[in-house]
Amino acid sequence: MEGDSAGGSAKGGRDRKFQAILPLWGKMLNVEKARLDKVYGNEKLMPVVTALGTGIGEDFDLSKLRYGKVIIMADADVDGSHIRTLLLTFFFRFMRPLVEQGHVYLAQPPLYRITKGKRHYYAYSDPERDRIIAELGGNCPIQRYKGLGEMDPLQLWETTMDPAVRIMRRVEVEDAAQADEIFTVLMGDKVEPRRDFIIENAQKANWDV
Amino acid sequence: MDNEYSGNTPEEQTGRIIPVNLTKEMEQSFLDYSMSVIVQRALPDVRDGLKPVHRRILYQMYQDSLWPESAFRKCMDTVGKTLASWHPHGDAAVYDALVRLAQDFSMRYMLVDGHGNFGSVDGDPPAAPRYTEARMTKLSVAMLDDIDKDTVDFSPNYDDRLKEPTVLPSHFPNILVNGSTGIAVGMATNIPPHNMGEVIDGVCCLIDNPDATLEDLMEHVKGPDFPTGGIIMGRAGIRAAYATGRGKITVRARCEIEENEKTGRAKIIVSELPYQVNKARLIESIADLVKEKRLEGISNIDDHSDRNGMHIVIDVKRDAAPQIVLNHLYSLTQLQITFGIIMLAIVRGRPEILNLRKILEEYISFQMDVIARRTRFDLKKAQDRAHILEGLKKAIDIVDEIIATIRATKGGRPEAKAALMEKFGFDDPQADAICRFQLGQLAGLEILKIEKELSELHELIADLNEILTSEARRLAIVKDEALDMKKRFNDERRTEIASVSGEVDIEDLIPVEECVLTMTNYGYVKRQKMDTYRTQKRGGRGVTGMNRRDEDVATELFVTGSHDYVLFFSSLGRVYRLKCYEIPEGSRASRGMNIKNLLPLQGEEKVTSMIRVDSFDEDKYLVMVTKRGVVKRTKLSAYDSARKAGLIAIDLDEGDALSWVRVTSGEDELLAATKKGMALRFAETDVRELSRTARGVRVMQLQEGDEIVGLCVLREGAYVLTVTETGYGRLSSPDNYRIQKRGGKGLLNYHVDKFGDVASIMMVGLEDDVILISEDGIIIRIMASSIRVCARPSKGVRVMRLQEGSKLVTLARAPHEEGEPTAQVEDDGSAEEGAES
Repeated sequence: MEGDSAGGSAKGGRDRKFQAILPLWGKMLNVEKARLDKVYGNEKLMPVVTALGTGIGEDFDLSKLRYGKVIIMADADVDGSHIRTLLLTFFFRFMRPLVEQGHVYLAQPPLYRITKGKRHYYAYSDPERDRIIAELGGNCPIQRYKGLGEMDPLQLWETTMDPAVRIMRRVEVEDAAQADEIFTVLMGDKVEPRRDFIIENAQKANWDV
Repeated sequence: MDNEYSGNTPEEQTGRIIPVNLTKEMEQSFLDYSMSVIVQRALPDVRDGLKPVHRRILYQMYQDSLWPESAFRKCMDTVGKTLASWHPHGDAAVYDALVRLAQDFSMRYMLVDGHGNFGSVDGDPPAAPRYTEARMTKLSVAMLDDIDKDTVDFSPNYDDRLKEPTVLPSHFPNILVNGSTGIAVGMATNIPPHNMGEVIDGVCCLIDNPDATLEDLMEHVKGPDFPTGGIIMGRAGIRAAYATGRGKITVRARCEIEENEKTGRAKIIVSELPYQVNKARLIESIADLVKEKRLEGISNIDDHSDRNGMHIVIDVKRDAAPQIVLNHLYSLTQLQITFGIIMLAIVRGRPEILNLRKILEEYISFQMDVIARRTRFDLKKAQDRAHILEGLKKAIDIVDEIIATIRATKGGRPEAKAALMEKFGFDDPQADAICRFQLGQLAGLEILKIEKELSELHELIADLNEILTSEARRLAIVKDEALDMKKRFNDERRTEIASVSGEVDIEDLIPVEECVLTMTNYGYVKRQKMDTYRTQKRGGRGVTGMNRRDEDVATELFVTGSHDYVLFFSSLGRVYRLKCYEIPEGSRASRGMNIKNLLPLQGEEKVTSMIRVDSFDEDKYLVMVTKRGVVKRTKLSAYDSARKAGLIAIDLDEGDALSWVRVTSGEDELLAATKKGMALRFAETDVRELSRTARGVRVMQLQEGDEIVGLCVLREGAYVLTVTETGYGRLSSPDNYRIQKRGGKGLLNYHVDKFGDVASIMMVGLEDDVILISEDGIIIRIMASSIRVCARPSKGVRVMRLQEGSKLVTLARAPHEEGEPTAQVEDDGSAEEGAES
């Protein structure tokens, strides 16, 4: 869960019988560029290790995992995307079996809330928003969600956390060597390959304010 | 609670798990983030030089009408509104950005006028936004000028409530003027600030000549100009940055070595720092280096900076050479930094590294667009107004019919309007204006006013149409408006660009011209252009007035080419080399720069000779003589070395000092004179050529307590001037001294036991002036021709009247100056006294 401002709603909105929340504030260490001792001593990453119970690196033991699904819940903005890449790097580099065995999920909070009369509709993408507006015949206020903190606990449960309705993406590793390479390029300490990658793929990016 | 969740379609109400490939997810998330940071956060737009956060702050202030003449507004208000309306990010980031726009040490030209504590060069934080206040500066108003005339595109804000400008009209090239710094992902920008006038001149140069070369542009845009001043060392880095978009420049603090004449101790005074150097941290790091003994020769460091400016005092230990200490400071601390220029900016939505020309071109093309859009807006407005006036004019012509029609209307004004439109063919805005027309306006004069306005409008419309069709007109407007900005906002360059020898490039940039180099008796050197020197000469500072005390006067003076070498020989037998242009240019009135700032001289080391060398010819020689009578002759070419630390010129005996160095042709004859009245004329060939580091041989036998006081190269048509400590002087023909073997006692030059010790000798022409300086600092100037020519060893005439206990110590030759000499020779007819019969 990204951010203290949203941690509260998530805690309030969860079903305590099978959901636990760990708020992570701000941007964590990029483990690809950091020295090992920095990773072990990192005050943002260690709570994650403790919470999952598995240990990291060579001590990693998947059988000790305390939760079936580890869900990364980040804001639906570009900084949320960044936090996602940082956390995935950590999981891939220090808890690789967790990723390979499909325990890591990405929550998908809605991007828009569309109101028509007293009813609310949630859209998880721009095309979906346009479709809903068209279906509703237009003229309806749209709230754009910038952060998870904008939602109250019930909304968060209804849109993002309720297993009955939520949309989640499960992270799968199809080609470990390819994944390894992309982490090195995107998160590593060499600037040129990263710049080349960005310039080559610039038109594929979606960004907002 | 009306928050009932309805789902979108029934099948979407069940939870879904979508598999996602780790590699794809990483790529996409990373691209989204990095492109957003690159394009919309960390890098400036080439057109207005602003990052989104700055643009939003300024636009918010504009919306709040925080004009330079309005009352200040709490920063918290601006920060809050900027966040709420445009910038959905952290409040601290917005406040930091706003503060930077108001810092005089960050911005070359400030865009926000701040009131309260906005931080300092010591890295002190600004006060909290609830304390500080801000409003726009005149410059930021100019940046937003015309924004309401549809000059730039607007886009919806983050919650679709409002429209924000995607760029500001920016009627000056802010990207260069204020520069920009930003780290994005995989790329960063670092554009230094520039001088407003220079950049605008660059814009005009490119408008006038689209084929202008980099050299042409650099005639105007000379280099970065930091708000904090400092000195850029050399032009190669600037050139590289302007040519390619990337380059490294070295920026130094402005340091001056100040010597206390009495205690002999030196201080290094720092008055300007390189851009973005934190003063408090700098001082701390110097103190640490001293403590760790990595930096020696510093006894104390104090920060005396106050509201009048920066003033850091570094005390140099007595036994340390200040220039060497300063060089260490440059290499070990942030008194010298490397500024890596990367001119990266967003061009049409993409990051691009730009050279100087491209930046200026982009700016001009943007302004052309702004002018075109503004013109179209003004045209539309003028046409609308003209249309209404035409309606009114027509209505006035048929006013009776109009009134009748309106009176015939039964309903209200809308019906009257409709009737007018139907009956007379007016359109809606015209009919509307007619209905609002007041009877008073039917007076003759008022009608004339309408007609006048209409004809003016027609003229304006024609003009605006012409602007829209003529690119040349628009270019001229861009230029005019840029020049107007220059007139309003230009100021003096603050950063000096110093020439550094050894740079391939700069030699081409420095004009080859004749310069006058002078060195004073207190060791200050200065370079003046020959033409300036000539024109300032009359009535200048020269010693034309009465006898003066404590005056610093040029004891060495010569004309040389700006690209020639100058050799400085020191009392310790070392030689240092500078290119003439490396010596700072000074006006006639300025004192020049202490030579200690230019050369790494040791504590007591003094420059005793300054010599011009246009080339290190194989057939030229240097003849040098020490105080204790050692002479050495060495090929000039042996001194051709660029070593900054200097070279050994002669191996000196303990306690001896190198005092005279002369360039000779290989066939010259020289005359050496002693304090106790002996002189020896010898051929230079009599001194065999020695290596550069050799000690040399004896020039003449000195009796106990005697020492050499002068050396001159004899030349046709000039006379040997001998002056005594007691103030007597005499001219003698060179023929009066017969040539002798080196190493002998020499001839009697003067009866020192009768008239006093010899102070110095020199070759002078009768057309020259002679400057005499006494121990207590009195300086006089006399005409050489007024001194009596008589045979050695006669007394001569009184050339200087001295205070009780004072002595004549130095003399110098100067080109004759117009006007009265400051003193007269007293010739009492006893000049021939003491002459040999």
